[in-house]
Amino acid sequence: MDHPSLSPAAFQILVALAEGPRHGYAIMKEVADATSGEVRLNPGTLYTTIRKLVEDDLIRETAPPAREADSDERRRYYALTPLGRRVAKAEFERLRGMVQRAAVKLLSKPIP
Amino acid sequence: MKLWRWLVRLYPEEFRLEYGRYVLEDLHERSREERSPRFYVEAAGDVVSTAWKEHCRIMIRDFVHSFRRMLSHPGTALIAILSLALGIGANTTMFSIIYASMWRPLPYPDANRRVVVFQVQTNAPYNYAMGGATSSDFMDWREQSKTLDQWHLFTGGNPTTSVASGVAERIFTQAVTPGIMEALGIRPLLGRLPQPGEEDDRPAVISEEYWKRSFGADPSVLGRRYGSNNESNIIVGVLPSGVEIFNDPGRVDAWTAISLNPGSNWVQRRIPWLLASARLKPGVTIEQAQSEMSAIAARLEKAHPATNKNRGVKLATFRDARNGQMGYLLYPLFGAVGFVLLIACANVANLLLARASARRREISVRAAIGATRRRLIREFLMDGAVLALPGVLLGIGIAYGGLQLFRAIVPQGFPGVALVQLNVPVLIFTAAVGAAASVAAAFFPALQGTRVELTEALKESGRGSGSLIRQFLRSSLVAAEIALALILLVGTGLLINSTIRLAGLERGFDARNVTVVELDLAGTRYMTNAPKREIDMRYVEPAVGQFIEHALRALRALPGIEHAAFAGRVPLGPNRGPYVGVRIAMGQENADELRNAAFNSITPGYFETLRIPVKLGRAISERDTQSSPWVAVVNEAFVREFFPNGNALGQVVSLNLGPEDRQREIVGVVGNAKQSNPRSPVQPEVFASHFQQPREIPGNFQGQRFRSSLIFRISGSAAPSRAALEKIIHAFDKDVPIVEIRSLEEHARLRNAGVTLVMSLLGVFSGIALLLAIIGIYGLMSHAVTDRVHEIGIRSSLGASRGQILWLIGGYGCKLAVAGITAGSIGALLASRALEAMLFGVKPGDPVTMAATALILLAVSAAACALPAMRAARVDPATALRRE
Repeated sequence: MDHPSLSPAAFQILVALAEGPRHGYAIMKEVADATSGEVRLNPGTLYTTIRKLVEDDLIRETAPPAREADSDERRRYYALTPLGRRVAKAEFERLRGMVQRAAVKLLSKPIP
Repeated sequence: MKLWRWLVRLYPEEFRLEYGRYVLEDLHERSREERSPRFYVEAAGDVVSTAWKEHCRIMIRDFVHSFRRMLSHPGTALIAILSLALGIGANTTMFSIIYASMWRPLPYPDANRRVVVFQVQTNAPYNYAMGGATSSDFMDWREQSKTLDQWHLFTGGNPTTSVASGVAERIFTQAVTPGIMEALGIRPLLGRLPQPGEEDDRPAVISEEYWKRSFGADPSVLGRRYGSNNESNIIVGVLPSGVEIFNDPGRVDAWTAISLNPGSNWVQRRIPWLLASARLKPGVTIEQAQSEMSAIAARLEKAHPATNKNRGVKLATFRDARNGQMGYLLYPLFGAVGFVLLIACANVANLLLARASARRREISVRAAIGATRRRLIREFLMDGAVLALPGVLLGIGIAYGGLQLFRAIVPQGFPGVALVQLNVPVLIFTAAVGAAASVAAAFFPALQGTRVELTEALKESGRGSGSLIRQFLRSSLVAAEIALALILLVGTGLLINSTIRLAGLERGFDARNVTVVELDLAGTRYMTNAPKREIDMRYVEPAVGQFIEHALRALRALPGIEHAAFAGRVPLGPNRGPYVGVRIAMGQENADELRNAAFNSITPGYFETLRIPVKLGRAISERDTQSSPWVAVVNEAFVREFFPNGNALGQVVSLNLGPEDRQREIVGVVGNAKQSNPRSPVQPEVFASHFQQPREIPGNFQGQRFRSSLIFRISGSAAPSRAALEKIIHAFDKDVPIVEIRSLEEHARLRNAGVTLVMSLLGVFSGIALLLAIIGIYGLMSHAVTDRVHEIGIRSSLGASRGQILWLIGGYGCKLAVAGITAGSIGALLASRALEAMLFGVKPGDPVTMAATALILLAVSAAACALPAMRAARVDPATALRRE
């Protein structure tokens, strides 16, 4: 399946789930922490994007991890599907290619 | 936080059930953590925008689903779309017509505050409604009124002959008081506008069209004189195209100036023929202005009893004054297309209901696994929208064709016809109609189709035709379609009926084989302005008599001409006759009272040409010359009005045709000839010879003498060609233009053109309605046969005859038709009153028309049922039962 229109929010969510299942609020925090508060997903965007990612089979709902300390029974947890992982990687490659091209043109040297 | 709870409700139910709780919780948590106003604004904005996107997504998804469902039944969908397209197309057509002629905003600043001030005769005798205002009264109003400002006078569009471009051509001019153009926001394209104070220099502006047509858009046209010898105006400017001062844009070629300066020919208090306009001052209502103006009119009545007796004043907004009688022609048609749309919606509703019963099991299953009713209803409504969208697009195409048809049959001079087009307001209307139609069509199916009685629906094997309610609903919709179609057909029938009666009407003259040639002598050497007395006066030059004699002699010499004559007015034809005050000389009780009669200046041969019978005495003859005693002939209506005892012959009358007129003895009485409006009684008419007229006549009678009609009757053979007629006229005087040549029967058709237009359009609309109703009843019957094929199989295997099976289906259809016709007849009784003003010789609820229409509809319904019924009768019991 081709995903030409993976939105920035969707990409951030996929990346946030790369290390393991998380619930919505945790995704939000993860994204904010990882970007030092630069990218802030608001709940509206978060859950409508989750809805779309679930529908497209890029992520799926999963049971709360039992042993984790902050495991919260009331929340819904999401995990990457294999397809989601592949799509996130492809998007990463696409972005990296774009950044590298920009580096060559703007800074006249490739980014390592 | 109430705010978050409220905001989350913006999401569609589908999303809310799944994620609403989490969105809300996260919002709470984040707001506890952040507490910055920026977060509130951002998060709230985020909810609103993502909620909107979710709604759009669901709409698009449902649309695509509905579209796929539609494609799986292409035949049904096509019928539904065509039905809606016809309904929407008819509505769009009518709306664009009504919008252009009545509802479009007038292109003036303060258009809503502009009024026209009419003078009305407060004791209103027969048919003599005053047209407008006199200039002297106008000046008094302007001076005395405190509620109105921006007073202006103008005329209608009048044909004149212009030689400005080198050749004699007929143009339309409108005279206005300088300043009106600035007040109405009109700016010149070239040159300048006429200014107050320079009226007597006769400044004029011409239209862009006329400038291009006759002057090749030459800028040096400024300063050129146009007109003829006695009324030459100097062109000071060119107006851009589209200018309308109470006329349709493009109707007027040149605007001249009305002068109200002392000594001007325009100034008089006798004949109210000018139109007066003014603007309500800010905050003044039209009622306040009306009561002030009525008081002023009452004062003027006291001050000028000779002219202003019984002369009142009536204010109308520009829009009302313009629209006049358009409403009574157009509103019934707008109602008719509304009916067509309702029928179309009923048809589509029926198709959707049929489909709903086919989908019952699917719906029940989905409801059982958790689809909410709201969601199911939304899907049904989307089915309507999916059909309405192509319906709207196709409907716009149909409206485009409809407007072509309208332009082809619209009578001349129909207001706003040049502006009838598919413009933005029309398209907005169409979109609204499409939306309303889609909801109307899908509303009942949505309510019905989603009412799921789980156990019942799942138990049923999918064959059943559904609940009794659904059955009843579908039957009622078809009956309603028949009822609405009947109402439209009755309307059409009534108009056809009255047109037939009109054609067979005894008019008192014979219009067949008569041709009317309209001549314009006013711009020629036959008329000069006389010194002004209390009103505008004209000299009739003696050469006019020679012209008439020559033309008649030459015409009568042509082969096939039976009779020929000149006349100031011709029944059904051009009617320029002003009313003339008649005073009975002696022996009558009310001898001094001046009463009005229609005046007709004719030459010998007039009555023979029109075959108007002479009842008593004699007609005007060749022996009645300028030097013999002056005589008059009157019609029977005149005798009834002026001589109730019936003895008119030998009576002496005087007509107020100016100071040189002489007393006339009545030498003959002729039969009544019905004029333009066959619905109104024949007016008293007095005839006098063209050759027994004063040399000096009041200006308002100039039409009688100078815009004469040359009429002739041919005996079977073809009428002479235009070229032959031009040769005759121009042999004597090449400057006399022939304005128009038409047969009298053509004039009759033109007179009735408004009603003919309504009849044609109503005919088309009721034809569409009938077609849609047939589709409706046929669809219902076919569906009933399919639904009941099992039952039919059982019945026939138990010994039911073919006739009984036929009646099972056919009888059901006929019962529906009878129910529809009964309801429709009651509706038609009420609705046909809207046509009352257009009917002639039949009453709105005419029983013959109603019965004939009902029979036609019954026959058509029976025919529509026949096919399904025959299919039912041919059902093979074995096959039908095996289908289980």
